[in-house]
Amino acid sequence: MSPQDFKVGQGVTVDTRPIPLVLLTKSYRSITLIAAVVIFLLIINLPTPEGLTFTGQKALATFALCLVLWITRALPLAVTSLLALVLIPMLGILDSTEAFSLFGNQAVFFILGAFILAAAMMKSGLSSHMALIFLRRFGGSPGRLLAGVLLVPAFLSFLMPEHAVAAMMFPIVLEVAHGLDLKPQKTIYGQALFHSLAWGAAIGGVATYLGGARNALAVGILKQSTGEFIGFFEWMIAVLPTVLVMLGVAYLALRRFFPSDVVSVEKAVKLIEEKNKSLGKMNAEQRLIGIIMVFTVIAWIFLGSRFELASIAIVAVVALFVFQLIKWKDLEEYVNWGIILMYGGAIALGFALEKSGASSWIAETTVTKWTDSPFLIVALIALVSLLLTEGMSNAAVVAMLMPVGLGIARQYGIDFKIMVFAISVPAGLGFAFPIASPPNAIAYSSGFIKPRKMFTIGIMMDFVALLVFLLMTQIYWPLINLDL
Amino acid sequence: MNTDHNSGELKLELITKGVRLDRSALSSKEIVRALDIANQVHNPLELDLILPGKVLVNIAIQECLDKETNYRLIKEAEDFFVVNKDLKVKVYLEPPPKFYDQLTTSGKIMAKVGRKYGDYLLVTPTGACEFLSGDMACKYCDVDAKNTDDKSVQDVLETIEAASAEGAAEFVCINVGYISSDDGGISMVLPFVKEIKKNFDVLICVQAQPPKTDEWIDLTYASGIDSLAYNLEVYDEEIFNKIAPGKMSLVGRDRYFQALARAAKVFPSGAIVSNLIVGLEPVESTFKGIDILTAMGVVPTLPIFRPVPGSDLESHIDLTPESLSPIYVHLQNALKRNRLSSSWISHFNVVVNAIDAHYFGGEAPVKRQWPTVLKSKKRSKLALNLRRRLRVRTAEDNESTGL
Repeated sequence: MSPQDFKVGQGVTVDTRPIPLVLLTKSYRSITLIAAVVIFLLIINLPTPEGLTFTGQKALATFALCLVLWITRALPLAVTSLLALVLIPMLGILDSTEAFSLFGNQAVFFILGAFILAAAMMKSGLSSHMALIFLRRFGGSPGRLLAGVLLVPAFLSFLMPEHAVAAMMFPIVLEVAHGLDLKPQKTIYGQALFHSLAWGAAIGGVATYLGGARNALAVGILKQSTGEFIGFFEWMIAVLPTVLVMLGVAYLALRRFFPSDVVSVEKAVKLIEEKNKSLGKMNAEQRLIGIIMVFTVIAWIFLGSRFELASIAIVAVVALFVFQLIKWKDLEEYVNWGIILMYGGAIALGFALEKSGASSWIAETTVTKWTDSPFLIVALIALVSLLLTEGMSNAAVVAMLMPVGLGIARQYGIDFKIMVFAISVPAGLGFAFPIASPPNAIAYSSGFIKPRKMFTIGIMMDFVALLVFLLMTQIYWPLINLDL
Repeated sequence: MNTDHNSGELKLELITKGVRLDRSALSSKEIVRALDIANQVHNPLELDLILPGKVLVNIAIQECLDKETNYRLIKEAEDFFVVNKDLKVKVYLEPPPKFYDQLTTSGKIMAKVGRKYGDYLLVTPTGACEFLSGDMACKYCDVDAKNTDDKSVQDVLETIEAASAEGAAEFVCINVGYISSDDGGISMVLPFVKEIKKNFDVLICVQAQPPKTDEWIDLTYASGIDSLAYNLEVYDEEIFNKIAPGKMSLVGRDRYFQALARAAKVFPSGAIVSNLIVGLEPVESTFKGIDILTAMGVVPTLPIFRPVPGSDLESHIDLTPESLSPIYVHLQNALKRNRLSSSWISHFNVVVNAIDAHYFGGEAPVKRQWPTVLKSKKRSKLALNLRRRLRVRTAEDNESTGL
């Protein structure tokens, strides 16, 4: 882009730090790429350690290369995954037919279907309708409105990707804030509203496969590597209590740490009413999409094990096109195609690590050395997942930890499903940084949130989330036959 | 007759007192042409003189300057001289650029589109400045509201091309005036900047009003503008409010300081300038303004107040060369103290800047140089572009690569 093409709204900023620092930042990507290649070559050329085959060593080198690239984001996540998909057959870890067939994993098609369904909801305005219908039931007092801004995105994230929910609700919350004359960073209630939006969407996003595609990715890697599977309903049953407790904790934290400095929210209630009226009644298209969505979720719950989640998702997508409820052009705009590519490659890499014995070898040579308590192992994995997600894409966290986690689970005789939950649930519960999750980033862009406050309260929320999750493993999971 | 003189002092004398044109000069082809162009564009006659020591001075020939001036411009054979009863100094009269007479394809006389001041080509694309008349009018401004019709991008490009052909446009300075908008008028300038940068290898400076938010300042730099002026005009708050009521009520003096501080961080050192008009406030106040601005990284430009006939301040003449000279020494010291270079404005002949300070007891002249530390113009421009490439980031760059 030539300098004269910059426009307002592109978030143009000038880095005013000393030039050496700017240079270092700018060359960070090149340094990272070189470092990734060096690490890859180093691992592949080291003497093969005891207990690891040379194929496993090559898988490990590929994993390390992807790890560096995923963490540093020197390449787009999807491109790193594609690189893995190419390196696996090139290095002879798997034959090319097997490697590329892994891209057709049903988790990939489930995610594709879920994205298309979410796209239809957003494009038709159904999601906005739902948000406003639910939101108008709250209001009345600052506390109730805050609860609404927490619970509505949480519920919507049961059905749609959390980032889409946050993006869709962001302008509504912003209008509410402006309607109440809240000043960015100055009014406490304004901060509370945007924290509420971010937390609600993030917490709700762990409840089903639909809220965070990372959940489906984790299950995809599980099925590919072990043959086991977690159904849509089974997932919800296992995770929902954590979600509900966390929503309660979040509300209490919002009330405690952001005491309302607003007396009345009458203006906001009026604004929501007006907005709702301006949308008019739900049209036939929106109703039909809603019906398809409801049937799809019912089918996932009751027919998921018989017909596969991906098949049901794709049938729903076909129905959308049959009734002309969405056009292909809309999908190009709304569907994150990169994530599809990313997940395909990540599943292939996870399988390659598992099949070559590399993941078991990592488990044996690392965690096994210092503890033999399955609970401590799960706690450690959950902590690592939570900390990593604060700094990197939560999908990348899942892609990175799943192969190792499954190896560890096998080593310790831990239920593979528990390992899936231990990795993917905390991976969606990062609260401390704007980059921890898409909802955090979106809420932060409002300008209402103070970074310092986001960090201090977010860290506390992180550890409460970990605690709640671990308590569930001990108290609740045994009741549903998930024994640790 | 004495030919010993001090070019700095003479410059101040000529700026403050003006010069009368002798019959010998008046009949010269250079003056006849300058007068002709001034008449065509309805502007007062301005002459560009180069005094010994390459001291540039732009002199307005106006009635309201000291009518009793002793200085005369005469022509003997092919040479011009500035004379008074004790002095005779040979000067070079820079003839009006050839492009002034040319017409753009839309039929505008180029002297009206762009005016040359030293190496600068000053362009005022729009006549929409809301501070030209009415309650909001700046009391000191010499821009003629009748003479500021809009110019198209094409008009400006053609004028720059013609000016460049005779080496008269190293810098293109775009003056925005005041347009009521959040951006300080930058959006209006951007199409001009885009086309100028695309077609010419020139540096661009913009004189605008501070925008409401700093995001616009970052965008101003990102979009290719090399130097920026938010003109405070006077430091004294009371005088500022009185002589610039529009700036006071629609922008606010504090916003000038905030915007200048941000701009000084964003742009290269020395590229942010702000006018402090000398003669509109007490000297002590100008000193204070110089100190505050330079400490922020802003280079004060010190135009000398020239009363505009018919303006509120027509009779406001309170300047003597003796009162002016300490200001330039003070400016030089302040720039040195804050490690600022005035090289960005060293070729701008309507202001007296620090490079002239040595004439008043300051240090030896700083060598006139192209902006930035590099000596070659080409390398300097490369360095400036590289700096921009390194420093400018978009939200896209800041986001994670990918999902």
